[in-house]
Amino acid sequence: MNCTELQNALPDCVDGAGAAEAEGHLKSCVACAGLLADLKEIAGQARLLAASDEPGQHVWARIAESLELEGLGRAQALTPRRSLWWGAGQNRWAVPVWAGAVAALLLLAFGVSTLRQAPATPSGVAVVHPAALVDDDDMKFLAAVEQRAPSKGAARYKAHLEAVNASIRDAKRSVEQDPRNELARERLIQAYDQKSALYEMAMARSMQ
Amino acid sequence: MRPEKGHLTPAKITAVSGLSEAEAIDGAKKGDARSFEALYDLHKRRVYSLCLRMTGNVAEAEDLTQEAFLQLYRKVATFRGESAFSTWLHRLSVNVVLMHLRKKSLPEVSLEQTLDPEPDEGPKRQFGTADLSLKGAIDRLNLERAIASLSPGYRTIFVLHDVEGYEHNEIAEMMGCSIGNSKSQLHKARLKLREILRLDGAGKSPRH
Repeated sequence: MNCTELQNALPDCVDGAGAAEAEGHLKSCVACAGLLADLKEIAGQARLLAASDEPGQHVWARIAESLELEGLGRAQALTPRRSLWWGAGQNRWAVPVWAGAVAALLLLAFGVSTLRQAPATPSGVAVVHPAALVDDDDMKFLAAVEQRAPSKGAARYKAHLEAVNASIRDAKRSVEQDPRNELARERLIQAYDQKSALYEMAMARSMQ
Repeated sequence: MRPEKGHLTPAKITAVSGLSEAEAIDGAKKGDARSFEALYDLHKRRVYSLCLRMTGNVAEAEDLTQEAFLQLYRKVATFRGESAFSTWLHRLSVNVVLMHLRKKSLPEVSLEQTLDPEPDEGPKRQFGTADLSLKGAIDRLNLERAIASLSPGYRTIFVLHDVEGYEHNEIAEMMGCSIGNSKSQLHKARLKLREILRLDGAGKSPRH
């Protein structure tokens, strides 16, 4: 076997086949032996490449958002509707029906008290605390939860409220930019549903 | 295909989410969000690493990872357990990337042509010299960079065979090419990598 023939047989030699036939030439040809060694080293190192790269967290957020739009109907048929974004289990948030009514009444009460008591802002909307992304109504609700059940995780609900309010804000912007965008409107409805479910949960937990 | 590497084992997943992989698969089939998230946690690295290596681009890899898991969500009900779930998901991910690469290539160019960026070059005379050996001189970062700089066709074949462990008959089936073509392209990819790594200085230091 000469160098040209060895080169033609290289693909098999790297993967272990045909080595016997090439052995004679490899013993006498430093150049070809070096080439084969290099190719084997490359293939060998490739096998050691671990799946070490991790996608950013925003990738999961995008997947969860797409799945909610795509699969929420299917999930609703089988389990109580809960946001993928919260990553909760099926029955963790079983909420009595009456707790939802209480939560709605509280929201209404806060809304009325806000109208009566709080000085109207120039725009006539509730004050949003920029750093926290929660408005006055949210803060009053959290204060009520904390009062009913201290150390039941009001801070955690606040963090969730901030996140869901951010989703509402983003979805509102999308709808404002394109009112005919069905996807954006659907996202806005789901964001409000998430907020309502969060209120229900916080109320139920504080009453346990 | 060789067993997967560098990912959370089922034992770890049990600790993190309380679900074994089998339970997570069953749950995902029923539309349970927590189960699907557990499957994502288990397999995200391998899917993302595959997408990143095959495209050489972070943004594309993130988009393709998202698409792969959306496909998983749509098709998980069809998983029958005839192969390991990881194998099934990996194959699904490879198909997502290949579809993307096909869409990117010029419509009038066949897949085999895009695989071989240098069709007019016959087997070149290659040389190896002892003092420029790559043995022991390739580290993971060098190799990853070199793979990323390959043309898409060479990169695809190399990643599928040498990194991910697919056999030539599997690659030929996935890519719609012949086994001979797959072997030929792999050999050219390895030669190209050798050239890149030598220029990169991996082999410039004299070896004794």
